[in-house]
Amino acid sequence: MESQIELQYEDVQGKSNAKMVRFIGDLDATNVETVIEKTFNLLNEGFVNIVADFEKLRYVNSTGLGILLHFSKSAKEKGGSFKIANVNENVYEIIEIIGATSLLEIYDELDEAVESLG
Amino acid sequence: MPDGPLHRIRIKFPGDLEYIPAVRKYVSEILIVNRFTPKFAFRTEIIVDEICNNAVTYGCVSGDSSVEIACLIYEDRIEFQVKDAGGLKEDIARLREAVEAEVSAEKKTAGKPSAAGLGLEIVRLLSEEIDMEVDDNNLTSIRVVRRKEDSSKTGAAR
Repeated sequence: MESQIELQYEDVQGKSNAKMVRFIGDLDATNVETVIEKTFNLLNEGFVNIVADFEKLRYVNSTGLGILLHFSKSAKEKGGSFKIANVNENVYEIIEIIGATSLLEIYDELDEAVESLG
Repeated sequence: MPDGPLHRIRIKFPGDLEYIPAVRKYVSEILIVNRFTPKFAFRTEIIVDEICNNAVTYGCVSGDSSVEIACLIYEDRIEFQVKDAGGLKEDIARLREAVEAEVSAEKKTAGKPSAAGLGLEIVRLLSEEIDMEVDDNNLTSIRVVRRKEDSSKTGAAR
């Protein structure tokens, strides 16, 4: 009965150490373990720059927010980054009210996030 | 016109996180059907999720325990009461601290991907009233009231 979340991956042109990950569905306590495992697999395979596309992420709770902060910290520790783009209004509001907008790298558009990789 | 509830809903589910998505989505759907806005329903879904998560994680220490959520839906507000099966004294103390004290996201997430206090911080910011009661058997009950007219409360506009 766990919430549905699907992660889709795409290469980032010209960036061999980067991946774009589309989050589709709801991110909550029932599926964080799966998302942690998949994301850490990417980081450990050398994709230390991750651009997360949240256009189709409908919902996130405090557990989900906790792991996003964790991904950001872990990517930085590996010399990379975890960037978020296309956040819908409801999800952005939850990130904002806990004061995490300054802790996460959030971009309006996917292109901006990719370009910021340098 | 009497200020009675339009609906009374009582849901009891096993103390397992896997049941919570269905519960929170059900409450959200009921609100949509009763002409609350999608934003109100979304915020309420978060509240239900967070308080049920706390109840399951910290209030269901035995394998066969359950959580009960009672919702009263009025024209202008929704009231919840979530009861768990009883937790450990130290968890209840932490819960009380989280309900009564304000904590920052940075502090609560430092070194930990998730914390009960962060969830309750969200609940407090999205609701008008939150209080808790603990009986002699450590059975914990959290009551939350959320009103329709609170769009300016969080200041979250984008």
